[in-house]
Order: sequence, then C-alpha cells, then structure tokens
Amino acid sequence: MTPVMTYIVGFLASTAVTLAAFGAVMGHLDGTIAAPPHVVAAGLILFAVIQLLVQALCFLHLSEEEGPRWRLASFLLALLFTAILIGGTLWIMRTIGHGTPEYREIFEGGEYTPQAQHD
Amino acid sequence: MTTHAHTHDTPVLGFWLYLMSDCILFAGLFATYAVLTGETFGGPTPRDLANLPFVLGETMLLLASSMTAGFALLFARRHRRTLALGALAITFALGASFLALEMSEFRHLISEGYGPAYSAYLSAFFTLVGTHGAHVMAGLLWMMVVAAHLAIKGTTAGSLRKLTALTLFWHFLDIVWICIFTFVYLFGALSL
Repeated sequence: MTPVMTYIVGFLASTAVTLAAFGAVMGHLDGTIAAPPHVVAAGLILFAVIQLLVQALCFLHLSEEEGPRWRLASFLLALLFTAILIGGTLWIMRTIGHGTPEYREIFEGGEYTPQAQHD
Repeated sequence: MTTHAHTHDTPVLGFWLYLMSDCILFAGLFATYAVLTGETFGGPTPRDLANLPFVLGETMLLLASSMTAGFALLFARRHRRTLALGALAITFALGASFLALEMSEFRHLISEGYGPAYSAYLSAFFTLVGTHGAHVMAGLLWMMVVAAHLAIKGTTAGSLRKLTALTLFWHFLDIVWICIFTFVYLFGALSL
C-alpha cells in the first residue's frame, strides 16, 4: 500500500466503524435493533478497539517502525497503564458502592442504607 | 517504509513518550468520568448530553482532519511545500470547525445553568471533554507555527521533524476523541 493509500484506507475504515457504532445505538434507541443495552455496549467496545487498531496502523504507522520498537513498546505499556487505571478505579469504586455494611462504614462513616446504593 | 525515514528520530521518540504520558492523563479523566456518571444532582444525565447526530458531525470533522494532516506530511516529505501548506490549511479549518461545535455545545449547557459547577457529573464531563478540546486548541496554535516555519524555511529536516511530531499529536487526539465518542456519548445514549 502506498503511503497515501494508508491514510485514505484509514479514514474510510474509521468512518465505516464510526457509522456502524452510531447506527447500532440509533437502531437500539428506535427499536429496530432488539439487542439489550449491554450487548450493544459490547459491540461499541469492539468497534472502538477496531478503530484504535486501524488508526494505530494507518495513521500512527506502528507496524512500520525500524530498529528497536520503542514506540510500540511504550504504546503497549501506556495501554496497560490505562487498563489498570480505569479497570482498577471502577473495581474499587463499585466495591464501595455495592459494598457490604462493613465497607460502607469504613468508607462513608455512616450507617448502612440500601437505597443509597448505586444502580 | 522508507517514506517514514524521519519517524525514528530521537526527538520524535521523545515526543511520542510525551504522548503516551498524555494517554495516561486521559485515562485518569476517563476513570473519574466513569465513576461520576450517576452523580447528576437532578441536572443533565449522560443521556441528555448525547445529541448523537451533532457528535457524529464532530467525529467526522476530526477523522477527515487526521487524514489531511497525514497528506500534509507526505507532501512535505516530497518537498511539495505549497501542497503541504494547503493540506495543513484544510486540517486547520476542519479542526477549528470541530472546536467551534464543541464550544457551542459548552456554551449552550452553561447558558442553561448547567456549567461544570452544577454537579459532580458535569464537572467530570467538562474536565474530560474540555481537556481534549484544550489539546485541539493547542494543536491548532502549533499548526500555525509549523506552517509558518514550513513557509519561511521550506521543507528542511527541521521543519519535517516538527511536522512529524505535530501529525502524531493530531492522530493521537483523534484516537482520544474516538474514546470520548464511544464512552461519553454513545454509552450515554444507552444510559450506561
């Protein structure tokens, strides 16, 4: 693929995935797609990952690095940190939110009130 | 592959490492946003902010600008200075249009009384989306500087290196926006 083509292909593929994600949500909202919200959400995450890969290859050219692959290595490390930061935060905060009375006493210093839980 | 001969410069690698640290900054903002989505204090919810056709327009502007930024770099590497400046001008116009749309969304919310101080959720929303917007603003200013450098000095090794770093920055912002599009707006429309 010529360099110009990588940008054009990257743009077209990104557009296609963006429109697919947009269409999935619009379809879900107007009832033409009967899937439950968490299935649609899983699809959205898949589309986002596909788009991340498309842009990493076509725009950032991560597959064309010469010599030691510092850029790829630091990119993967940043993705790992991102996953730990976001996953860890949600895990801890939901543990507190849905927690046992003991947790709520520790973190909120108040008594256990079920209706104050999230969701 | 040889067309990317400038991408393994040490200064460009240094800039790349900055981008990776910026990625972790955004990870913190996304985590905060995810935790605070329910804390709306009776104000706008994620679903209320998810005006999807509007946000799709913003997304397409940034996607197109990412492609034209790539063209600018390719033209500059072939020493086609005028074409490179033209591609940069189109990139700038697309980026500025994106920023104008985002500002109009913010202005609308604030004029309704729903500024960042209204609820924890809106604080998180304005911080996450606004930090991306501030990056786009910085990118636009930087683009003017690089364009001036390119226009005055021509396609020297120095201006190519500056342009390479700028385009990496621009593509990175596009990827961050895809995450905002997905997790703020599309997930918001699903009330997740």
